[in-house]
Amino acid sequence: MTAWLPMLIPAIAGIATFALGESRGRARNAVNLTAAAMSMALVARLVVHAYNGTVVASTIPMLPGLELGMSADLLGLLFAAVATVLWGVTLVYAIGYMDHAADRARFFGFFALCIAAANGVALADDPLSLFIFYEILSLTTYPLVVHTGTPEALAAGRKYLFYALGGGAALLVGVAWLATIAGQTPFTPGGALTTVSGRTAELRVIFALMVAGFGVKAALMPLHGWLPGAMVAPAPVSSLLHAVAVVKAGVFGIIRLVNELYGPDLATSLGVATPLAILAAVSIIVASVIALRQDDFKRRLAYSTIAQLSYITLGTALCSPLAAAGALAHLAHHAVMKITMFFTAGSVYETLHVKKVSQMPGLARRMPLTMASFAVAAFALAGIPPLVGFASKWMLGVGSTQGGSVWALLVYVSSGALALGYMVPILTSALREGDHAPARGAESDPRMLWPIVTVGVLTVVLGLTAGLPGSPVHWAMTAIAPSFGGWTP
Amino acid sequence: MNVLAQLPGLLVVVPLAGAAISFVAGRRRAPHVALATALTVLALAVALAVHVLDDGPFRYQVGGWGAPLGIDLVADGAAALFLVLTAIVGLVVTLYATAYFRTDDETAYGHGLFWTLWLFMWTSLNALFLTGDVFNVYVCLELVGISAVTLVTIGGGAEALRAGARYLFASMLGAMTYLLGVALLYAATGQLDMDVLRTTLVADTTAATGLALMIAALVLKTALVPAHFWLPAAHGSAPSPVSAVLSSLVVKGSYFVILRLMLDVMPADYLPGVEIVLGVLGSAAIVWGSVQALLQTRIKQLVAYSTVAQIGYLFLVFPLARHGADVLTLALTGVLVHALSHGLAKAGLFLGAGSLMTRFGHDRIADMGGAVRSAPALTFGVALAGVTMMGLPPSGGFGAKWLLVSAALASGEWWWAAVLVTGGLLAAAYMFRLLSVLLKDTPTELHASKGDARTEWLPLALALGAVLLVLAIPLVSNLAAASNVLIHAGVTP
Repeated sequence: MTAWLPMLIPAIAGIATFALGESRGRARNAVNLTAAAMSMALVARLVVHAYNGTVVASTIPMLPGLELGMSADLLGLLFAAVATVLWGVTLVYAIGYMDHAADRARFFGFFALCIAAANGVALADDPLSLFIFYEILSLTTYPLVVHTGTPEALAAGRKYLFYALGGGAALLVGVAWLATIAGQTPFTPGGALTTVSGRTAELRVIFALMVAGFGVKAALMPLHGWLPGAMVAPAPVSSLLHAVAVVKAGVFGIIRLVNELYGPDLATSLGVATPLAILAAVSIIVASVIALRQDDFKRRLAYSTIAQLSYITLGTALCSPLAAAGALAHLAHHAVMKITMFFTAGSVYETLHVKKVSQMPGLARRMPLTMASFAVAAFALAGIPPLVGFASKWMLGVGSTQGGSVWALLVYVSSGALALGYMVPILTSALREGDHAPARGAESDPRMLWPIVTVGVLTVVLGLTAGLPGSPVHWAMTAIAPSFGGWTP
Repeated sequence: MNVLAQLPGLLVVVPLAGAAISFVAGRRRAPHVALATALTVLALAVALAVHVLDDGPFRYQVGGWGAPLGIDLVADGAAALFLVLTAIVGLVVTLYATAYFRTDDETAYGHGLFWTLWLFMWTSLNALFLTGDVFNVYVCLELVGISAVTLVTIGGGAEALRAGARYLFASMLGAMTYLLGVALLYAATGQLDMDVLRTTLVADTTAATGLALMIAALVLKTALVPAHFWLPAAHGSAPSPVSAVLSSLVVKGSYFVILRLMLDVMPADYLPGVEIVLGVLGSAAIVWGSVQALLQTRIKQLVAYSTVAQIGYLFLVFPLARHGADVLTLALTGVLVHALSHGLAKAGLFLGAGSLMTRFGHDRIADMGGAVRSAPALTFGVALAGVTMMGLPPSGGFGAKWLLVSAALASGEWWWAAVLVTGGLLAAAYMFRLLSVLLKDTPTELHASKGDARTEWLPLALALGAVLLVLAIPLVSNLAAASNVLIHAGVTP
């Protein structure tokens, strides 16, 4: 039962939020913040159990011969922890951001349901359970994308659904097909398809279908088209969902698929890993180049997200232990860095109505703490040591050479340079003298400012502590090691 | 005498008595009679389902005569499922109708008769699900058809009358063709009892022609493409509680007979190729109905075309049934789950459409913007019903789609899976076209006074039921195992 709670607590909070209605704002905030705190405590407890080797799991019968299962293993818990902790931070931010907005019950209700679905994806024990929560995540995000109800938002929502439901359909066929040839296949480090012999052609098609399904949320090119448009959503949605929960559900699916469903050995011998790696490498370069040319702040961040997500996909597809661990660590690291940036984008828009990089001159003086946090996150994203992005990029780079894929190292290095290329102009623009006068009093709503500073500081702290037990790096290596047999980090 | 053994008889007698009492009770007391009847029938249907789960299918001889002279009722797992579905939807529709047909509305001429006709139709439907004899099927079909046509026209209006006339024509044509088929079958075999026919049917041109005519007639009654021409008008112009019952229950009555004839009564390949034809028509229905739903500008027409599409899924079981016991079990469970989830969701959708129309005072989808602001529970109900229509998790519709896709992939005939997936995406297209209007940020002046709370919450309750059905799939699967189809196929010992 405990394994269901990280999913159930936010779900119940979401339903309670709907039931409370629009007018009871204080009760709504209390319910959501309490639920976030409870989820964090619970996830922490499960992590301690998992580190000690006890994986809490539970299943219920659903379809004939198939069970719906949750299992709190280290791999899943890493994603669940990222989603849950950042949910708590984002809630504080969102309460400030949405202070004067309409339909807040609907907003916070679906927000909590999204986190429930993301935690479901994280802890799902088998492909069917994962698929179910993956689709729930698609559906619960839609009302948030179209939240404002403007024609622009509705168009973005339509595009999002077109991609998400199309991907979901591919995933459904893949999962069902696999179930007909292999039965129930709970995720197992190193591969769960030991009972299947031969049928290589079918397995290749199923792998492609699943990649197509996960690739939509992972914004793997050419399936990324929905993400820049979805930036029309309110900033907390872009921050938590389009940098953390939703897009990470896609790459997390790919991590489970490669490491724990097919297994690195089978994925390599079937020859499906290399095409995936090439696709991801192309996405990294193309998205980074497109990001250079974006003037709209959130769109630039969105293309940066597409590139960074493909870091994770590429690291996973290389099927080399250190790269795979680096990919998983980057899932957590990128979440912290990118949420800082999207928080900043939301805050400068809400405070000064700045949407474009070209409108930024003077911003550094007007909002010093906000922009300083952004700067730290930007340098971290480019992989500058000792910030958080450096640790995972180092692992990804060394992992690529260990796996014999020097070309991947070149991709990582060149995209690090491109990241500087699209991040530095934001900083120089903000540092220039401009229209925005220095702030008198608070630079922005404290409920937006302090979450930004918190996640900004986290990018430094997590970078400095990367070598310690319990850090995302150590956690990722411990979680990935069983998928690679005798590998010890 | 064992009371449980009387349940099939009671399931026909109780609603019939309710119909009679509601007729003499007068228009003010009729709703109470109907509610009491609905609650009783629900209890009886659940008791029957529990009894079938415990002790397996059984026969009930009306008046103790027995075949071939008397009338036999057959209660198996599949029949129990349809009876429970009918009772749940029936109860909710009855509750909704108490708000929809206001007793103080003196201008509504036919509304006093609604309760009697509705309970009478319920009686005939229950009898249709239970009857074990092909001639009594004819009688029940006629009774259902006549009460349904009358209910369509009960609100008056030229459009409803035209639709009713077309519906009456289709219904009569179907009934006559069916009767002709029964006559041929009887001439060739001298038997009418389905169970006897199952064991005695031998290759014979006359009997085969008779069965083919019967199936063709039932296809017309079920509105399978291309015989759907009467459905959108009839379901679209009836009063909303009636639309809900017609779309969610009445078409399933004739479908259930096809299911029994195809999979239980007739030996495999008795009518070679028919199962493929039905599968292909079902696929055509899924695509054609969805595309038409996408093009509709009026809300109830959209929902009605969605029914045309969703009926198609039910026919995919026939080509899949040829592929051995495992695939048959998956596919049969799949269509039963689909019948249930579509029954609940479509009733919810029609009731929801009715509530939206009462609130807006018109039925044009394009002008329904902003509904989410003033009627959030209603919009949420429509959205949840949509989730089931699309077959997305977590919903009964997803369970059905999963089972059918698995059956198709296990049979090796993957193209049926492609049809299922395409149908889900098309359903998403037409449902989100509606939802994106309801979610639009436009200030609206709804007729709040016309918005009885019941008309907002009951559609949501039905949609929630369709979603939660996903948790009841093990139960449906047990009831499917207790169906005569699987027992006679040797799947269930």
